[in-house]
Amino acid sequence: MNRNKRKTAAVITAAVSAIGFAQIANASSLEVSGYVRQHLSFNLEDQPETTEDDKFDMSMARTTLRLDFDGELGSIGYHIVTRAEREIETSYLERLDDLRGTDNLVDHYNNEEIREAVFTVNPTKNITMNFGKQQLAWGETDFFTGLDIVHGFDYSWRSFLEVENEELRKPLIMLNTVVQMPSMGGALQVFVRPGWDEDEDIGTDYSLYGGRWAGQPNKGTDFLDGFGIKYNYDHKSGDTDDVTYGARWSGVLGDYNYSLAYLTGFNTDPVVHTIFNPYQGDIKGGFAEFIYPEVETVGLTLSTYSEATDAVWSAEFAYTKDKPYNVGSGFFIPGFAGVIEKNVLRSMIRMDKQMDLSGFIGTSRPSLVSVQLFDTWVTNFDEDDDIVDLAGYAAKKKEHSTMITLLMLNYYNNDRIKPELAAGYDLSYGGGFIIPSINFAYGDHWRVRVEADIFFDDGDTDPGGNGSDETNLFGYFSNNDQLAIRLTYQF
Amino acid sequence: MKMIMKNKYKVGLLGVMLTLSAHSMAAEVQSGTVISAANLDQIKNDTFEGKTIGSMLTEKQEWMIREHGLTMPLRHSESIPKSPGWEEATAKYAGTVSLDPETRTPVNYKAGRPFPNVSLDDPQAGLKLMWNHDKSGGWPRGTLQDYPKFAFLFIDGDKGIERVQHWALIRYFMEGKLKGDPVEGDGSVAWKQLLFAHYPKDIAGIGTYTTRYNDGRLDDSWVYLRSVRRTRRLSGGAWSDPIGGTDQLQDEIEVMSANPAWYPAYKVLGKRTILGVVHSRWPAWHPDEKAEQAKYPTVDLSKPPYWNPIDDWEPREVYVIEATMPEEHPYSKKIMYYDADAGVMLMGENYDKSGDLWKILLFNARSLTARDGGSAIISNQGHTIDFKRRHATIFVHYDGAGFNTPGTESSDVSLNVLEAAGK
Repeated sequence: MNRNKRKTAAVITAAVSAIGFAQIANASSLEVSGYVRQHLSFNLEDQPETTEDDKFDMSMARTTLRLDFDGELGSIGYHIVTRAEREIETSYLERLDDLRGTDNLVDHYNNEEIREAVFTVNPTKNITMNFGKQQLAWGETDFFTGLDIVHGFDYSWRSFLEVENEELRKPLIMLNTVVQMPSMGGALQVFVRPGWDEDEDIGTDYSLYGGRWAGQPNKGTDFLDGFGIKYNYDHKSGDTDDVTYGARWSGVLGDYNYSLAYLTGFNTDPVVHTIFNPYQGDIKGGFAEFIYPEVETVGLTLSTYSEATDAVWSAEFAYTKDKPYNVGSGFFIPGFAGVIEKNVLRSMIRMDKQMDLSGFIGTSRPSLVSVQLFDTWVTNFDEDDDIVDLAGYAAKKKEHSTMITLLMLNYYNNDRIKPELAAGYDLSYGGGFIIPSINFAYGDHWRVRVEADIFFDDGDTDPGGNGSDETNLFGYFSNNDQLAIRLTYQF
Repeated sequence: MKMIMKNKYKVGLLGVMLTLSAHSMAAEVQSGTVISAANLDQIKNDTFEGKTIGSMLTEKQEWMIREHGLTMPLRHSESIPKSPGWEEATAKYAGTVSLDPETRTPVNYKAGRPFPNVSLDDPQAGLKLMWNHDKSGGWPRGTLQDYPKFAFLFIDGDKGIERVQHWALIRYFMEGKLKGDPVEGDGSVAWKQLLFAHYPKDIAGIGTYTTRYNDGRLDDSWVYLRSVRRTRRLSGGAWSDPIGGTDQLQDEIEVMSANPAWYPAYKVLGKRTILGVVHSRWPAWHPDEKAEQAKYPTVDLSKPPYWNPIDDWEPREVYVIEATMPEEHPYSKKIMYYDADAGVMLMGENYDKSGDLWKILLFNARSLTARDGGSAIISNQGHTIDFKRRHATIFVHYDGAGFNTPGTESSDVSLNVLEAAGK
């Protein structure tokens, strides 16, 4: 057990012991809640990587147990979230395993963890201190990460498609203090992450081991064990043991909500650096490794209700200095030619509007329509930098990468039936997605969600890697159309 | 002559007999008598506290008794206690309150009832009564409503309870205080509210924060979404949308919770006595009970349509007020029954754009001793019945609800608290 794991184990042990003591002493409240959930997903397209026809094959059979414990121990509040997942290795996953040359793909999907264990005290009426493993979501936008970069996300088992992003965000051990300042109309939030997290809790995970959500045409290609490109969590540019921190002031000024934030942390997406052009230090082993360099970001958010448009308008701006990107579109492995630092402004503007469509589609209350425009601007862009949009693909990054999304939520039968539609189009590189879904609520306990994940890709890469010069985001998702079913018993 | 005398005698005897007959038909019924479809025709002309049963039933109440199984156990009427200082505050401040003709909102309101002497001949009578409801005794409250847990029951009229949700509410009033300065802050804010969902799991942790202003502008509202761990501003124009998946609109909390200025017109249809509930059987929710009927003893879950209250009805003097809805509202009009003494809405009838009855709201109130020793009135349960869809939402309180909790300050109900409470 390494040092980090020992620390996490200590947090867990302390949490469980505290609750146990409290219960024995009958000095606390305790509420237990959670769910048992079954995910099933089916391919709606054949996967070119395999020799068999994978269309309609089951790609996921995943069972999840989540238990939450909430209560108070004297004047200390606690919130603990535990979660365990087990998957069946479907015949499709077996085929991917055959390509990987292993039989352990489901080991990447099976997991059990204490996701959150946070203890809360109020030293004064206006000060709240939360210590432990927890989540902080800053910024306005859920779909993209502008300021929501305190944590990485786990996109390895279902990509970005799980509706509740709290289930994908990777909690971190922090001291998170909120000081209410009513006289100034706002609150100051300061977090310090002491660097006690397990390495794997840092950064965003993609299916780099060749699983069902690996970017095409890399299903069945294990970059981690097969190619020996490991994560280096102790790299000079980003050591997970380093202390990171941030502060945010949020308040209301007139009709506007606003927040100002500054934070240090790890670039949420990994970059690859190689022996051909190492970035800030040597390679630990092999010819390349994935790293999460530390970056600084400042941000601003605004939101207000406009009576003239009867809509809520929101905006978010996040400026990251020296954000790392991979370069080398023409390198023999695209993007492996090195790492370059660029100054990047990510911005978002969104309109949320309630629209009464009951006369047209028979809904029982107004629908929510949300339109969002998201842009990533490399402010000191230089064509000659030869930045690749995605490491491993030759498609070049443009000065602006802009996407528009639409979300529409509809309600029937007292919210017992909720059809939804999510759609997006990549204005810079082409391609998009459309996700129709429907949610059913049966009584207090049963919930069912059925969704189709349809990608309109633009820029396939051939198996073997040829033709990747047009593979941007939705080229990455090519051949990934899915039918997904989620059955939940909650308690 | 003798014949004439004889006939006169016969006529007189007939008159006495008719009088006696009529008197025996209009007997005074006893407290505890239960009005139902089975006996309504027999007792409709009987009296209770000197008024005939028929005269005290609204048309819709009688319809619900006859067609939808509503029963009404009778009890004698009693006045509702008022907090010490409330009458004095009315006397002290009401004289300085006026209606702004442009915004149709009260000017210079501080505490007590803003318009204690409303003449039905006053063209602004309806609006003034609505402000009385809104500002003072109208809201069933003290200066702080502290409801740590209440439940919404979702009722299928043919099957019974289909779902249950648990919520918590805290509303802090910035004016109308009977101790110290009656107005807190600069007077621009009427109240602030936090509302959190606790159950079931898929909504637990969702919270809203709302600020209601005095100048008639739309509310400022925010929601905390636990699933994404983020606070978002809500549309101010959503004030006439349903509350979540319930049958109740945002402006139907306590029958009427819109800013009165948001409705374009009011008409007082009259002042009369109806049967209403202001001594509701407390509490309506017994969370520790297992069986549904024991858990919700004041809701008739034994037979369709499963939405009727089981409670005690008494003669109440009410103003009957018709409100015209703005164009964007789903209703065309509301008829509200405003208790002249208790200051609460006992009942509401809501009509669709075609003028047909859509929903009926039955709210059962009772007095509680506030935590600062004053008196407050609470809606023990509230029934929103959608007759078009044969569906209802009923909220029920348990006995943890209270008023004027010591130590609670304005800053305890704020947007930052909403965000800080999110985990």
